[in-house]
Amino acid sequence: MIDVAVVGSGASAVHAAYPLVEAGLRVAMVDVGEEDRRYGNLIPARGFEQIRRSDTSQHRYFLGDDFEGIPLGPVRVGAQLTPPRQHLAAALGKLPIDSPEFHAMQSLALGGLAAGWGAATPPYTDEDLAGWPITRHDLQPHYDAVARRVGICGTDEDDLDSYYGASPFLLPPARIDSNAVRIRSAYARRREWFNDRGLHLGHPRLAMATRRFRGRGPTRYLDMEFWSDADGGVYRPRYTLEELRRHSNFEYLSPMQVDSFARLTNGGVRVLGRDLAAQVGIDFECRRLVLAAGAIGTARIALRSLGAVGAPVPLLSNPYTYYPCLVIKSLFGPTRDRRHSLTQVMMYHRPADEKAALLQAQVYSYRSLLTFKLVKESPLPVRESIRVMRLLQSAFVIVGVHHRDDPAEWKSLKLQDAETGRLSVKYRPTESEVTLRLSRERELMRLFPRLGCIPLKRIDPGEGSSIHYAGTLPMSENSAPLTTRPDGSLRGADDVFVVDGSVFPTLPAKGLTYTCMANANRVGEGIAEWFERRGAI
Amino acid sequence: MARYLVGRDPEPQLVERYRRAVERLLPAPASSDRRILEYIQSNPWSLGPLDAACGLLRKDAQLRQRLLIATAILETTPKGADRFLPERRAPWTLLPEIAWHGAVAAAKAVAGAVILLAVIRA
Repeated sequence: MIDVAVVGSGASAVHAAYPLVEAGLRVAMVDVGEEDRRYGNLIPARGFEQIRRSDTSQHRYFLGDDFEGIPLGPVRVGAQLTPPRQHLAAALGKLPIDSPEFHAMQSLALGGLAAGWGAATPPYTDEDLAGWPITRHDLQPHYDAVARRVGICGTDEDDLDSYYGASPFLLPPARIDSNAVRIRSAYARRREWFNDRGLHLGHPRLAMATRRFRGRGPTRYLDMEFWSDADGGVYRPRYTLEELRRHSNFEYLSPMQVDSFARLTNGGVRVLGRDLAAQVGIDFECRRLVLAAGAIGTARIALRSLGAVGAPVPLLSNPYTYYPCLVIKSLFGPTRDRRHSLTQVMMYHRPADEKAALLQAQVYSYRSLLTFKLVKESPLPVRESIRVMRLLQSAFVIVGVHHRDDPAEWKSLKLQDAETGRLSVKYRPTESEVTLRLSRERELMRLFPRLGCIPLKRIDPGEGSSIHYAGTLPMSENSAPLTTRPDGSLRGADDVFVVDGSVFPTLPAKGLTYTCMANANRVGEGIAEWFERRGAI
Repeated sequence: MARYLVGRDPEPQLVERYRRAVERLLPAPASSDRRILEYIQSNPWSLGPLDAACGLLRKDAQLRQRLLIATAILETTPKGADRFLPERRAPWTLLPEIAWHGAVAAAKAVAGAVILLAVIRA
């Protein structure tokens, strides 16, 4: 019998599997593992500008063979998913969900949604973890273990120190581009003024190898991170999966989809699903099952298995909006061509005089997502837009604003049909919630002109657009049904453990992936210890 | 369209790529869209004003969507790099140039709005 089966291959799955495999347990990872086989090999490992000037095949991956990279409608969830990344959302038609007011992106890709993740790795502080049954102290060794595995660059010597806490395993911070330099120097000049108004900014922590790290990187600052992983700089879960596959006690079973599980009377779990290549059912037993199929996918499997049809569970997602902005000094000054496409500046904002929730804002320079997408948003004629955008482009930044999310009656997820696994999502923010979000954003944006950065427009891609989903099977000390214990085990199915964002009781504004990975490592270590206590290792 | 957008005739393969993209991405034009497109075919000078008017009044018009598709196709070529990658200007020429484009756009939009209403109501 397999000791532990892990469902999924995303950020949580691989870091839950890692300590189990290291402990010598027999681990099987069951995954659909969809991959991009069309565009990845076409993209040269060269810088964006060099590619633009020389590659005659660029239209294939920039626009897609079916022109799927030309979005003509309004900006929506996944707008940043370029043709080589669109396989991440290919599950949309395969995992049934009724979700008219909430964009529920599900993935069956190798590496899950983290295969196209923006790599921001802010750890949660005790304040972020308020209401959780675990603390930063519990997570710290696991943040460190993950940092040693994925490579996180940044510094603990700027104004974001108190939002992150110290980390002994940081790679040198990534080089920042000209827009970021200008924003940071405007901030430095009036630092106290900004701090008095609750704004702190600094280097982002990114899962990016700024020097050679575990056979990857270093990043070559190609500005192609939205399109390819050619230089291996940005961490992807498949790198950890490759390490796991070198162990003889690890098996990667793909393309296989797990639909449900059943408890065995003598302990252990029976896993049921489908072999998608052979088009036959799968049915095997393991002693422990780890669910890491994403907050929505994991909830589907758990609710089907527990027969919880029609029972609402919470659903959390960071509300997210974009603000295209112009960095005025960049219109006139020189710009640096070699850069990465990910977050250049990280900001945290909370009005000093209130007990308001923290807001996270990430500044990206806009270039490698191509000019025609900016032209589309402009009210000018297309011809004039092209000329104006060309003049303004080097000064364009996109500020992505994340809000915190907490459980509420108006957001939930339900299993509609156990046979098909069809889910339905209710996510209708109240008017006061929407007003609060807007007023918090206005407060933040009012500070931007002092950073030399003029907001031009607010773009709301809709509920669910952060693609940060969580909270469907929250961890809790109370023994309520459809929750998980602090050790990750699912109430009602003691041998089943949940390690992804499903277990978050609340969702701080900070990106969740690093905490998903750290918590998965924590639960994985706990399972390994259980086997060890029983003398099974 | 290519001549209007970037001031040069496109290579035949780009025209073919544009044709395929339109076929793939756009439905058959509705009657008002068809009237606009037909009007431009017989009066090519009206492309600029109608583009400007649609940018303000009818962002979902097929004319604008076709122009965006053409822009995407022209941009993603090595030759397109020279027309689309950021361009540096001295501060004393940047603002006048942007103002000039704004003024041209406004003038076109006024003329285009009149044509647009006439064409749609015809």
